[in-house]
Amino acid sequence: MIGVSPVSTKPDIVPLWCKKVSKWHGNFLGLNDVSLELRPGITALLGSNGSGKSTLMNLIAGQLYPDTGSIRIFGVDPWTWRGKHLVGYSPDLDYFYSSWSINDFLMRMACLAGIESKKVPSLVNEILDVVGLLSVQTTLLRRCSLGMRQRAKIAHAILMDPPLLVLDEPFRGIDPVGRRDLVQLLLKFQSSGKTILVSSHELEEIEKLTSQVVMLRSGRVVSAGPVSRARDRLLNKPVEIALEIESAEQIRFLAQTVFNYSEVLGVHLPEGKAHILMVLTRNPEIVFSHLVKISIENNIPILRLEVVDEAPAEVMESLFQG
Amino acid sequence: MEFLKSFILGVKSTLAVHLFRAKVGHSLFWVSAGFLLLVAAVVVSVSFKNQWNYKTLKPRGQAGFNFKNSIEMIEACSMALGHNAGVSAVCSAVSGANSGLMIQSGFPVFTKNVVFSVLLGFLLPLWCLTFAVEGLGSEREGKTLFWLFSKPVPRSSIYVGKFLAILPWVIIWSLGGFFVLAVCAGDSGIFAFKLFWQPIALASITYASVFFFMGACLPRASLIALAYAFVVETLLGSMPGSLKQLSVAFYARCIMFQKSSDLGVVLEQGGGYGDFSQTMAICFMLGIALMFLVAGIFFFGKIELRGQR
Amino acid sequence: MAVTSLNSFLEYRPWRGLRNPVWMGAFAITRESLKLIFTRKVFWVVFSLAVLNFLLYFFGQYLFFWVADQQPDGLVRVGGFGRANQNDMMQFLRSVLKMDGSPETFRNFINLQSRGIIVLLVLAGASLLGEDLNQGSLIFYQSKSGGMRNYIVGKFLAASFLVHLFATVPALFLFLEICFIDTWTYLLYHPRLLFGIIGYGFVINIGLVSLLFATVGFFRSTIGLIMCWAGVFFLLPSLCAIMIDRLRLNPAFRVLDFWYCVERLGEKCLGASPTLLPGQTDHSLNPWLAVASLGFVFFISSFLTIRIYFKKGVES
Repeated sequence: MIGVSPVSTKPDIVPLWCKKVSKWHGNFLGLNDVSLELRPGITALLGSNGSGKSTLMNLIAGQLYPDTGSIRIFGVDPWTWRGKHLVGYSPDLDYFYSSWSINDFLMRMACLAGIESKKVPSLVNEILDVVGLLSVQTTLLRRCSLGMRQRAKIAHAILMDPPLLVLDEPFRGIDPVGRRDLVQLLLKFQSSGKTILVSSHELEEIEKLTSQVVMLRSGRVVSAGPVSRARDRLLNKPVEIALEIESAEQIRFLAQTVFNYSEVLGVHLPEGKAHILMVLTRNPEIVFSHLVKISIENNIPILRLEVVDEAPAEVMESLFQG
Repeated sequence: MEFLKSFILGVKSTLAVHLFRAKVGHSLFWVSAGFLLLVAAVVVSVSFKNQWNYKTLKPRGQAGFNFKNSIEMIEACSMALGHNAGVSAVCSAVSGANSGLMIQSGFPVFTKNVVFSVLLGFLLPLWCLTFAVEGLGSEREGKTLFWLFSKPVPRSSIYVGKFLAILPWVIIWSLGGFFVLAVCAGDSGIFAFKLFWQPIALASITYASVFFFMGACLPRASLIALAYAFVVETLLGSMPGSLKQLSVAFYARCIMFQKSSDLGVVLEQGGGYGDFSQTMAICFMLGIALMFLVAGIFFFGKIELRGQR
Repeated sequence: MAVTSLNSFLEYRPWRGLRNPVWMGAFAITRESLKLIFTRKVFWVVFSLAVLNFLLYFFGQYLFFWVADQQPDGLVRVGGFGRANQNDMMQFLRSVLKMDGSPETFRNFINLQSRGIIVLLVLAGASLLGEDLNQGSLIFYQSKSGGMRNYIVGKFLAASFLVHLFATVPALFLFLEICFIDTWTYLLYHPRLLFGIIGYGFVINIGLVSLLFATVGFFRSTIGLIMCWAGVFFLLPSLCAIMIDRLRLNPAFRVLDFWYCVERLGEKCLGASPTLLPGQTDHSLNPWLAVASLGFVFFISSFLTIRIYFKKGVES
């Protein structure tokens, strides 16, 4: 099963089909030329804050309209009311009708979704049981904890039993037991043939859920496919580290010493900047520790240390640290 | 056909959602109620002093000589000239007619001072604004609009459903407020209410449509609506010249002007209210309401929920 | 190092400088809220209008004294427009524009300026006070040692500063100007004016700022503020006009018109003689009734302010 693949020519049968989608937020390009195609199963959407995850999810759920490009869910435009049948969306927003109870909320929403009024109570009960809110269903939404509201949102997303689920940060604010339950629930949906797109910063949970990952950076898809492929691509890109040292004599010594390590691919001294040494490496963490050691042993104070090409570092941060 | 079905479903359930979440507690509601109470108190105090007539009204530029004095003077004349039967008859006829006019003058005085100026120029726009802007504006500001937008019903049905949900409140509140003021003013007030309830209801529907559009489609809707209410309706509406034809209240005033002209009472000299016939004014008001409804449906369908990152 | 236990708990290293007294915190709050107002466009719009009005009066005074210095009954050269009769000009400046350094000059000037203050406070007042209640930032003030007392005092000073910036200070400038271009005997003849200007400034200050505190605290939004102030400054005067000027009820009903009462008190402070506005039929409100109206607003507002800011502040 391939979760993420390059765009094919048949949008009608795939659960999600995006082609060259861009979205501006005023002067800021929120999403840049994103093409994506999902197959049934769970796909994780990763990226640092402001990388365009929520924008993409809002576009898929039909809350935003793409400035260029098009999105189809089983061939239907999600912006139209027909498209809303096909997608269940749990947004990363925390605003509710605060004077309603959880039960009221789901009942009203079920009515609005066009479910027969006779079937609504039993359906809502069933869903509340699934997300584990049955015992607290009469609590007012404004008195709910963050975790309860999060579950209510997920309950809302699965209300219409849609084939595509879009969950924006579903693990945020949920306690460990709840997370385990939610992972189980999502795996159950997966086995029933649904397509699920999850964004999260909780990499532990994502790893339990899926190995299919889409990574976004500054509104672009930087990697799509199994997580191992993403990791390889990231690790294989060399990083340049800039060092600032007080005396110019010590720079050449430091350059020689550093170059002895096998992780260092190259060093060079930029012209016109007497105190700067550039070090090229694929494995910055190990080089950092070497540098510290050299600095202490030879008493060379390093004034500044900076990763020049920030791109992989940032993506790595989002991948490894969450 | 499928569209129609989901449209009806959308209207029905949006109505239900609104009725279910309607709360009367917000502070603007209390301001509106406070204004009504204030004006009602003033009207009561005037009725208590029995001042809804021309009794103390002076002709322009004549100090110390009012309508009541003139009647007394005519009566005094008739006393003085009592020996001539013809003169006496004329005098008593004139004074009788004048006294009758004075007693009947409550209706134009009340209409001019309360209905025309305070109610139409200030209270009615504010009341309608309070309810109409809240309709979708509160959902926009509370960012709960998402829950409606994520449902498989057309956007237009949400708009229409919400509009139908606020409409009864607006009409009940405006007609109710008018009725309270009319009752406070006594017989002449009730007469004015019976005569004028239709234009007031029509004006409140039009206002509801305009303000509902603002609430649904404009950012910072309440501020814009307030600016519109004060600048266009209150200020322009009471200015001389034809600029006031931009205000909704003008057309309501036209209908009222002609309804009272039919009874032989001219409410305001040279206000230009005679230029539009009643049917035309009704058409204008309904046209404005419809225009804003259609524009609202169009623009509301294009709203994107931003600001949620 | 002598450090009290509380200090060492709050700070990762002790503060070695001198501490200001706690009440000085109020000034910091004043300063910051004024900075906030100065960043608003509406402030500069209203301010420039107020400056224009000030310049009108400033040069109006100048013109008056200049015309008065010319040859009696002669013709005065007016720019390139030709000549005007000196008496006509004096008459116009004195009785129509009332720019003759009389109490009426200052009354008209301050009345006009206070319209600007009302517009400013109604549009920017919510960002001065209401935002803290709305967005829950009150807790930052409450957690400081000055607490809400400092907050109230600081914000009160900020709003008062605005009032005096618009009304009292320019009026005093005007007074000073007349002293310079007339003679300093003007000061001797009109000592009451000096105190009257300050008195009127404080009447406006107390009336408007206390109203602002209560309404902002109650409504918390610009919308509620505008509606409420529209009621006070628009609906009440027009209701009073209907009752008194058209239907000839007891003029004491004017006590309902809060702003009329404030203006009446200012008139009393300055010792200006009342003039009738167009359509107005009666101008004899007992000044004590005006004091009662102002006092009523002040006490109700103070009560609400204390209730809202001290009791309910944290909940929201």
